[in-house]
Amino acid sequence: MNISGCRFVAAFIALGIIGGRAVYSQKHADGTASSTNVRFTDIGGTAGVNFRQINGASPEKHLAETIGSGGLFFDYDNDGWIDILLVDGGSLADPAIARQARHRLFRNRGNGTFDDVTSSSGIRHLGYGMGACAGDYDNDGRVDLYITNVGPNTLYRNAGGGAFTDVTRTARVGSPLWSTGCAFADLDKDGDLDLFVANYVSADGKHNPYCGNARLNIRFYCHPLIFEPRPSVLYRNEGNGTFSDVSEQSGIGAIRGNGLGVVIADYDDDSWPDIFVANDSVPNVLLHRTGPWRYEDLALRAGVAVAIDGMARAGMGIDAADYDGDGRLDLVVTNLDFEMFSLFRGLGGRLFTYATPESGIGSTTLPFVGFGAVFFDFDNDTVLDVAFANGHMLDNPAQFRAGASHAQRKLLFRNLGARRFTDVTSSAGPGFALEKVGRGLAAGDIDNDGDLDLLVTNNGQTADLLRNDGTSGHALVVRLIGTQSNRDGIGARLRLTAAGRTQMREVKAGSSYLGQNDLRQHFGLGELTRAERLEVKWPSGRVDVVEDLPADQIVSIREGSGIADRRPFGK
Amino acid sequence: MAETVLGRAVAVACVTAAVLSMPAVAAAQQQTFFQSVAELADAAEGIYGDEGSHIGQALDTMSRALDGWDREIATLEARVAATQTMSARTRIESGLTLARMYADRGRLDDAMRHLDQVESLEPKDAAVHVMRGLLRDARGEAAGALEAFRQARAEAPDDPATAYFLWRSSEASGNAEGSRGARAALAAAYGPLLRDTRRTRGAPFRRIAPLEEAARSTPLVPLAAYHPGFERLARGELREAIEEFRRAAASDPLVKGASAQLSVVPRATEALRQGRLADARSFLEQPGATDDSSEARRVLGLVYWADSDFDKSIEQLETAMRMNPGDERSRLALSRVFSSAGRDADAQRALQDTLRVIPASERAHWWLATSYEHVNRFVDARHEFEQAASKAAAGRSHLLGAVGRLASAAADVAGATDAFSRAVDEDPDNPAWHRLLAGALLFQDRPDDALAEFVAALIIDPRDGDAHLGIGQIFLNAGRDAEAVDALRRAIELKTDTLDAEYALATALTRLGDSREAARYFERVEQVQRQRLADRRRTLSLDALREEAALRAREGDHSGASALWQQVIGLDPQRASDHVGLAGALANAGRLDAAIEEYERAARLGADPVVYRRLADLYARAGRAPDAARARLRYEAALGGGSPTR
Repeated sequence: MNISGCRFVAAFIALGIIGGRAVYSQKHADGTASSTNVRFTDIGGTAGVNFRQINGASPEKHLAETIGSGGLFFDYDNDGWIDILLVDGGSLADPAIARQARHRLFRNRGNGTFDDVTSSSGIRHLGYGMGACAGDYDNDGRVDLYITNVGPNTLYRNAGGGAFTDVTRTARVGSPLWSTGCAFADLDKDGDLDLFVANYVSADGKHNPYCGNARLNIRFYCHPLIFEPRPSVLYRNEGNGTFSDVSEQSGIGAIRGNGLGVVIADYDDDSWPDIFVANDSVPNVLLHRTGPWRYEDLALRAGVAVAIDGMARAGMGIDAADYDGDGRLDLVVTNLDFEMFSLFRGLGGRLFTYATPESGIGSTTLPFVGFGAVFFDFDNDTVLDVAFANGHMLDNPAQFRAGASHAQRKLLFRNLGARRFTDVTSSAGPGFALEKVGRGLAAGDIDNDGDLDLLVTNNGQTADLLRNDGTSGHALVVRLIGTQSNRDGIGARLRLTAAGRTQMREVKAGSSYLGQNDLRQHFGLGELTRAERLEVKWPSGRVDVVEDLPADQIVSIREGSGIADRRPFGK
Repeated sequence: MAETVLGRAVAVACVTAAVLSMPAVAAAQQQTFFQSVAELADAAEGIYGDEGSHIGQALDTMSRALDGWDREIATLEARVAATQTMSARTRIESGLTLARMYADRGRLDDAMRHLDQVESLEPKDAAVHVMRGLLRDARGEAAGALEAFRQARAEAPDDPATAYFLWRSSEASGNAEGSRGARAALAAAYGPLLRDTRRTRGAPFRRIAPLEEAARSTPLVPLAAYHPGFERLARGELREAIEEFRRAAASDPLVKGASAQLSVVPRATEALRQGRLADARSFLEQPGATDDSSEARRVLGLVYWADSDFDKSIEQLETAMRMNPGDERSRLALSRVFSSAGRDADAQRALQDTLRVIPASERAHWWLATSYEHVNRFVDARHEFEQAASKAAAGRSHLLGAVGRLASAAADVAGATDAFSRAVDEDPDNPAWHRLLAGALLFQDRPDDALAEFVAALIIDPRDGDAHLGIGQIFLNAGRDAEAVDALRRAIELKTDTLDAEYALATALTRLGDSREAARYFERVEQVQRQRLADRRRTLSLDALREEAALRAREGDHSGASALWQQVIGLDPQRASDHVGLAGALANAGRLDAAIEEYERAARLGADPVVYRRLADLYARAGRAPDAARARLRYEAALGGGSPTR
């Protein structure tokens, strides 16, 4: 992130170029092209998700104060209703404030309202909290939790009964650096989840230079480039409750970047997961597997390291999905104001093209400092839309640009098809009208009604739980249960075909900014009431196919067995 | 001369030569005229206070030049009349020349009439239609201009300049079909431009705006009193303009002061020009020297300002303003003094007061704009730049460029596009405006329009590397990878900073499967990125140390400030201002000798002349009177010929 002013970035458009696969136009059942009938309403307070992030903001302007924190959806008690974890920050300047910080675990009551069950969970706040990711690393059927910090990270093993146990030391995953985004994935296809942790910079509170304008007597948060970049960490799951740090062996340890957002997905369809890291003010990183526990950074050659002018942007949040329906993964990365958020469209052949302006996202995002990013089909019209959580880095931006604000509204872009989006924020309801200092953004169906809701974390403010109301389209939600593969099916690729069109999803544990989406995969079906075919390609290599699936239900697919459970949506 | 065929041919040749060479003579008169306009504007600034006579001289030169110019035109008219028996080509060329001269002289009706005559000789001459279009434009006749450019295009379909004229005119008129066709022609023109390695920069889109020639590099924003004259100039009413200027000069205290022959002021201004500030002060500080003259007060204010005695300068300028509330120069100078003293809010207040008292002060709008921008009040700055641009006599494009820049800073892409488009209208032969406009258009998802503007930049200068880069990147994103490679290679040949072009080229080559060459460019890109990153880290770290040093100094912790400055200098020893910072901290910490050493070091590194003044003060405090005197002389010598008031 940087505080520089306007920079004319050459931004380009595909002049009607159509890719090799079908690119379609969609009729939208919900609303017109430039608006939506779907409304998002913040129900955080009424739903019981009462949480205000303690950022420890101080006159000394420790950088950590403005970075966090994140949050995620996960079903820790396996009752079929997703729960919420919210990471709290703390204070690097005042121990008394630091002691007030508490992560919060909210259990879904089964109707989209929540109970705070933190006190009985065993989850404790340590250090200064950043983000989290969740995955069943020991395949015991209960999803575990990894929380990143400024300082040692923490791995909580889900012991069942609502209790988590800190197993960091035995698991050997307590990286002491300032960690940010994390993601679980089975990187060696041995059936268990490995762990990737992005690390940021050396600003841990002990070294905090003065950054400001003495003449105007204002202090601001330092640019991250003032600090030393940190290498990310890669942990191999040994299958016995422990991990090994394979960062050096893998080549990842030699790559130093200001890592923030992480997403793991197979971008080149070679069946091996690849690791994307959004780096702050230095080129993004795309770690491509070249062999067993060997990775090479191909970001520059792939076209996702920098923007079109060859210069890095302030990469914060990141998500990967196939937004144009051509069967290839695409990427979105949020950036600082006046940089535009970066949309990279997959071309195949391990290449991406910088597709920001052609997409309709470009100029709209210019005034925003973006963090969380999520591809999701909010209106169930079969195409992936995108949302962003925004909020300035600086708590005093008006000092630098009159009219700039710390709190910013979120953005919601509707996918129009033909690789274009339109900004529908203004019609998306009161939840999107809120101006806050947005950070994390996660999508999940909190009330199992078949549409995706959003969890938003805000720096120094209350979290938002935006319930999705108003969509009339049909949908299908798929939960995976691995047997040979990891229990959550993380890394599995799903292809759902309905009315001759195929949607693709990949199960990711860790994405956006410092958080994670609901692991269940949501497919909007529009007016269709059934899907002809669902194909699941598991990390193990096994392919399961289910045919003739009625819409409007949550189906659980067990590896090798097919449908293990069905539940209709509860509307 | 004998009435032979040869003789007649020679006679024709002589007349033709005379006709075609005549513009050189008239051009010289024209140049002299506008040069005098520039000199008038410069003198009217009154930076030293002795420019009154220069204003009169400039006006006289303008009058003479205008008379000469008109004589040359009359002579050319007669000569052109004599060409009626000559070849059509000669008559066309001479007619065009005369029409151009009429246009430059502001006689647009005469120019149009003459073009009609020329067109009757050769209706298919594209140059005639282009000039007609430009004249129609100048007269605000959009429909007529469009028709003329359409005809020009029809007659010269291979000339990309006619395509550009037609495109812009179609856009302005809302003619979508015409616009599309012309734009497509521009896109097709890129190939030949890419291969054009010989042509140098030209002026294919020249407007009929001769005053712009004199203001190429800076805006011409005259003082309010002289603005009516410049308005006349802009309308081509040159003789009336001179009369307006004379009326303004007659009541200008700068001129009246000169004619009143206040003996003290001329001597003081002479000393000021030579940097003898002590002498200048002494002349004007004599009892009675400034009692009755606001102009004398103003000059004394300028002297104090040059001597960095800001409080006294402010006092004198404010007194001058009280004595003559309409004195725009004193008001503007006051704002400058406040800025020099670091009192930005007061500087802005002074300019706002100026506008309240002198609403026609476009200069105040301009300076207020820059002052606002300096303190990051971008919205206000943009508004003021717009105000200044609307009334600037010339060089509006630069002010509009500032508007565009600030619109960009506000993420107002539409506003930026509009501003840069107007900048292009004002100064169409400046490729920078076309490129900036292209960039804004790309932000608006209008790549076809952007491509056209990049092509326009290349029509002006086919060696514009950034324009080739922009086109290459458009091609790249359109999947036209092979064409992108060609454009990007050319960009790399022409640009000095090639990171962006090399990255784009590497990307294009990768897509084309040429991974080996792509790898070579990727390596270079990575190398440059690493270096730039390292440089940026260093700069940010140093800037943080500098700010912290300044903060410590403000807090009175001069020892702490000194330590930080020493740290900065240890990392970057060649920056004069850092040594000045350290010297100041050492001086405040009572370490005079060390401070003196640092100021001397700063002076050797080329610091601002004020460092000599500070040295003089320190030497004096250290009891080293001769050194103090020498430093004082060095200060005045450094100022001599270049007042800080400029």
